[in-house]
Amino acid sequence: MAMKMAPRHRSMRKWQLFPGRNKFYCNGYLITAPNSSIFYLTVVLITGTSGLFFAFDCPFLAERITLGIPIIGGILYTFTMCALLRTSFSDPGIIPRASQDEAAYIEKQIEVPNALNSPTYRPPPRTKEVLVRGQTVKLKYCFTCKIFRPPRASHCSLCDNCVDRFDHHCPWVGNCVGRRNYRFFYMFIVSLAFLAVFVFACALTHLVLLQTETRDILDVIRMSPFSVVVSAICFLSVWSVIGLAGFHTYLTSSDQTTNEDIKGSFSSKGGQSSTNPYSRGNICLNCFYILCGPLQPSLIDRRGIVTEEYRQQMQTDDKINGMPTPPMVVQPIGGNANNDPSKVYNHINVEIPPSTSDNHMQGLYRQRSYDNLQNDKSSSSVSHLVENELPLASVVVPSTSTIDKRIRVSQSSIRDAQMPRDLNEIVSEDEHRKSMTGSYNNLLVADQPVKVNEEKTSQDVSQNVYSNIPPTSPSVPIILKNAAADHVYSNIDETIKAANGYMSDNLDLDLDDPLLTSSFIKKKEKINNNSNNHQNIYNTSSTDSSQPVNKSILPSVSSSSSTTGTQITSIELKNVLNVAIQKSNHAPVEEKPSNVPATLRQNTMIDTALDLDSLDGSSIGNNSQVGLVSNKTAIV
Amino acid sequence: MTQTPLQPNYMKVFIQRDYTEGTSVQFQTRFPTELESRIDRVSFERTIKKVNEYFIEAEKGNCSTFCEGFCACFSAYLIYLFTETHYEKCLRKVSAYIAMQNELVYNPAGLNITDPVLRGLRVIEISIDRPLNRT
Repeated sequence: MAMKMAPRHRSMRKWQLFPGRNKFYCNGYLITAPNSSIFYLTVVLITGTSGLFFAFDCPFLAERITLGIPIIGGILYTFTMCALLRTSFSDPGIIPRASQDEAAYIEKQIEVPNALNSPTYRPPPRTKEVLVRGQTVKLKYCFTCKIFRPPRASHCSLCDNCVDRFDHHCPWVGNCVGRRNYRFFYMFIVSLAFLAVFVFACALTHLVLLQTETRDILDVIRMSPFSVVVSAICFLSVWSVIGLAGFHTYLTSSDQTTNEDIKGSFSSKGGQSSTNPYSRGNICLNCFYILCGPLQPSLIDRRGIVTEEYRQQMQTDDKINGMPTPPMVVQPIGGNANNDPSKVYNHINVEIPPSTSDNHMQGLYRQRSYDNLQNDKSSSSVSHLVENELPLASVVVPSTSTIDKRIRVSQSSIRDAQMPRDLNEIVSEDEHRKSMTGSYNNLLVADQPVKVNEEKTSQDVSQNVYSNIPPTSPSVPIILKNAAADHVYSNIDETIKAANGYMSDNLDLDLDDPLLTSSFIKKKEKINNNSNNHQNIYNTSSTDSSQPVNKSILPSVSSSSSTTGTQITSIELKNVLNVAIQKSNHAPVEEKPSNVPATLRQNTMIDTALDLDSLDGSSIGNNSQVGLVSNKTAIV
Repeated sequence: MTQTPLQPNYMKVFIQRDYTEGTSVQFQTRFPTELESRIDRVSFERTIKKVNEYFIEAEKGNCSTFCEGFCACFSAYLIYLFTETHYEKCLRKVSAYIAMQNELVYNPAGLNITDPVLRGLRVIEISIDRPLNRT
């Protein structure tokens, strides 16, 4: 046995046991993100356009003007492609996950002070504050990697890794952009900007020269149609590329990451300004260090041979990950269920913050970021924990796209589903604000007796602020009374299934159910003043799916960015919604087309805009409050 | 070929990163209490400080490292395929230094330091009473 095992172990490389979702090629030499379809699009776009340019414009220009044009074009193209491939296929700076011993050590250190003050058990705080050059920086615990993330690191949920100096996950290059490949990425952007401008100028020159000879534009187009195509592509893409290059030049010179810039980590917040502690204080020095400084080697040692010890640590880790109720203290709070994809998709749908699923990539990105926390589905503000993990795909996405209707459906349904969550979040924040510190306020919701929630809920509903959630707020307490165990939403699920027998197949979505089905309950009870509002919400979702989307407000959606995860999500949500719409059509209450759907939709958009501006965990909650308040004024 | 089914029950101490000077790789020199009976504070701090010095050298930006960066950039980063970077050289120095320290100081005291590179430069792992024949 041992004799047989030994040679297999010896030939095993570490990348074959790598816990993240990255893909490896060439026996571990190349590493890239799991979904690289858009990367191929990038390659095809650049190569295709340049190919047309070299084939149809260059001979003419080399003959008429100078031989330098194809040479410069060739150099630029080669450089761009080298930088692109380098960005895509190198390790962005993945921080290896903690070994089992290290994770246990961290656990032990967190646990000890908390076990002392325990009449009521509290989960240990999952942030740690450190001083970086005189500034307090909060380190968050990563439940997946089982480490306190170093400053500036963030967990990329697409790749399922913590990445050092995380900039963003760029679907166009098919990889995360982090500490190790930021310089490649920057050079790619800059050289691509030069290439695009150069090709555009040359193709235009070609057309102008032809036009002076023939004096007829139609003839010119007939003579060299590809020049027109090339200049059109370049004209469309050059703006976003130049803008991006400028943006990253600014970031580089001030030593910020896109992540930090979007979160506004170093902007003055609440009168208290915080400067960037990582900057070297000098623009040139920052650029030098980031673009030409020493390059840290890859830390994941993907081509290393798997030793027995390494395997042991990894395997025990896997075992723990797969277990339904793992023994560690972490488990009740934020889980390790990310190994179970079927489970993941059920919860993904509802855990997206309302206004972030603007496009496919972004939506997907958000969803994944909650994987590791989904055990905590009863407490709603998971966003607090993962506020580092920002969807930055949209920054890199040029706006050449069409909008998929399904996204709209899923957006509105997600929004609807979010309402009870927000309510609960607010309640639980109120509940725990005094007793808890930092980011983990809401983790305790599951531990609290349900009664508290119930009382609070009905109280808050009677106040003005949250009373615009007619479908849920009156009915949620009713359901909560029936709930025996402490898991709020799943209980609702069960109760409703038992009581009404609605949608028994589709009811996998924990948080969609309370809203949708509770509104059915209400219809049964014939409380008519609220039922109009239900109708309106259904109207919103159904009209949204059939109306063209206002492009000027919504950020662009990449047409080709459809990924399996999002598809599943939207399909599932669609199913639920279809059922919901059917039910509402059969309902006795007459549907009144009104202005309310429009206002709801507007709020959706305002929310979207707001959320992009302020991506703090706390402000996400605020935004939804804003949305709710304005909803209320519109409806009432 | 004796395969232990479970992790043997020896203790490990983890020296965490020190971020006070930014995100460059530095380790805390605070002496862990678990080691008190094993090794004297001075030699422990000397080891950690030496390791920190190596990392300062690795991440320092001077003429040669900037030249290396420029060359790499102008060669469209193809140079990285063939040469060993300054940082990698420094990491090898760290590994060599730790191996030496293990042999001279730590192994006789029943301790063993794991190369921080193997732990992703997150921690320095010191195992207590670890069987020496395991790698």
